[in-house]
Amino acid sequence: MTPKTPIIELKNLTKYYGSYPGIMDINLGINEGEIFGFLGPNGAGKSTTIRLIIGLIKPTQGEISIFGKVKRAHHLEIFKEIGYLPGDIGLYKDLNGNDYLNHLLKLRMGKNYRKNNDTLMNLQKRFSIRFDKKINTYSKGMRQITGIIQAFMHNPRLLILDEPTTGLDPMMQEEFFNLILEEKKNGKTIFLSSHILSEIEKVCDRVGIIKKGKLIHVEEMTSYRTMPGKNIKIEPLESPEKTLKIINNFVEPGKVAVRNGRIEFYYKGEIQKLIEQLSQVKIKDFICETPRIEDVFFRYYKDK
Amino acid sequence: MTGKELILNFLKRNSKLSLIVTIIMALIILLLVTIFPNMPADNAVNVSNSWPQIMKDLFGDPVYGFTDIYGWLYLQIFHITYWLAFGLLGAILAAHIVAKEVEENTIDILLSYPITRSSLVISRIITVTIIMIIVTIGMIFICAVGILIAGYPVYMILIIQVSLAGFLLSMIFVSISLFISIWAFQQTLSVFFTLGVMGFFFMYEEVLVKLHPFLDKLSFFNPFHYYQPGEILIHKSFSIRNSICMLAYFLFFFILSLLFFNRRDITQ
Repeated sequence: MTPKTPIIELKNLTKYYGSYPGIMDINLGINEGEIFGFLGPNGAGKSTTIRLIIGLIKPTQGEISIFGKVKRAHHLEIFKEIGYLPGDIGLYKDLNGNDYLNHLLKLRMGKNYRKNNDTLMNLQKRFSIRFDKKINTYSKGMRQITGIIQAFMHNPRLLILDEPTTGLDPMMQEEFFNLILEEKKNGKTIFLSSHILSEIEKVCDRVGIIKKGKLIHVEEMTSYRTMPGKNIKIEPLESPEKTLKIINNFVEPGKVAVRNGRIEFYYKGEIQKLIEQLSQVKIKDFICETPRIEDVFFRYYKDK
Repeated sequence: MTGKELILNFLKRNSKLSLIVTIIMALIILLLVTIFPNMPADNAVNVSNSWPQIMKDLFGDPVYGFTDIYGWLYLQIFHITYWLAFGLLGAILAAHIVAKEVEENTIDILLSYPITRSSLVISRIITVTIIMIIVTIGMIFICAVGILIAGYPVYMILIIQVSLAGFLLSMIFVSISLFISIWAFQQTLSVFFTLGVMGFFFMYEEVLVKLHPFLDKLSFFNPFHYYQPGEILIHKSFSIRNSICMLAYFLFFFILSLLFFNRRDITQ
């Protein structure tokens, strides 16, 4: 069986800004129909990667293909099927929302723009802001909603969204995530970048973690959720040294953190054995919980 | 359809500025034409003799300007005022093509659409050209009306020829401003830099070129060397070669801008 060509394929992708590295040697494939979360703190290289994919900046090295085609040679074909939401959105302030969206729809669809009028109207109803007002009167959230609508209104095959929930209130965020999940059911591919872990956890199938320009880890979300082990937090009544001595029999010393008198570590072994050993010391509080995505992320981020 | 949409949108968003500049210039031209002094030749010679040579180089010789309506047109309008006003308009419009989009962050969405960078610039240059042509036609009409009101015969061919020269010079402003705005991604810098460069070229042609024969030999690179409103209006001599040279100047900077924009990173 021939393996499917990824929708987006990045090979050895590198970008230097002068001598300063933006991203280095990124190899990544995004498959059709998946929601891929691109995770990393501010300045990690998420937006640089996205801007390279869109073609706003040129790579120093490496290759980008979208829908199995090299971008440069098939620019027009490729971009008919992409919806893009930039991280820092700018809209034409002298137009109202309706005029702006209609202008973009005509740019995208050409003579066939009327075919997508219903999709546009449905999206406008869904997010219900005043599209007859001039964009220069819009709040940050309203501008973001307009940006989201322009990305989705032509039913693109691939959506590339850079920090999409910036400025959205909780209700709009919920509506946005519902939209994402509906698009996924319709077979769309979504490449979504964020530094908000809960966003990624909600909708993504796979996650890639980027740190200082390097892709340090890619993992299925299901494996995050079913990772063996627990987060353990112990607050001893006495000084922590005695407790630490016991814990070091189970966990490497470097993997144990002491914060405000509380000992914290990730433990994959049998809980019963740990409790039996800890009975030698006096404990004020003992917490044993399933890791959250934040815990997993910070662990990779500190380790790598 | 995409090209048409780009043209219509740019036209809609920049028509107000163009209209304001055109109306102001139309009123100025009408006023200037109708206050033609029609001085006797002897008086005009006396005025000319009282002016220092540098003033005559920079502002035109009153011998022609004060005795003949077309000389007056040259002195008051086409020598400086016309190209300054419409060159400025052209420079501002050119800066809106790319630099304004980058400054306002609107270019990110635009370039994610199925349009190439070249088609974006070309369609907008077409729009700027359309605006400048409409403005030029308006000025031709206003000049003719002004001369009629002043009670002099209208030689449309002279007005059309000098307006064509003015149009081509304005388009050179457009192409230089476009190039600077793509290099710098800043509207204000590109407009002022263009005005500064063209101001220097004007001074070079009117003053500096007379300082040494070698400087005169270098003036072939100067667009003002080919902009000769005095020759057209006073000596009734129109050079197609000059128009072709100005067109070539415009095309040079325009093509350079296209090539540069296609390679340029759009950084935030």
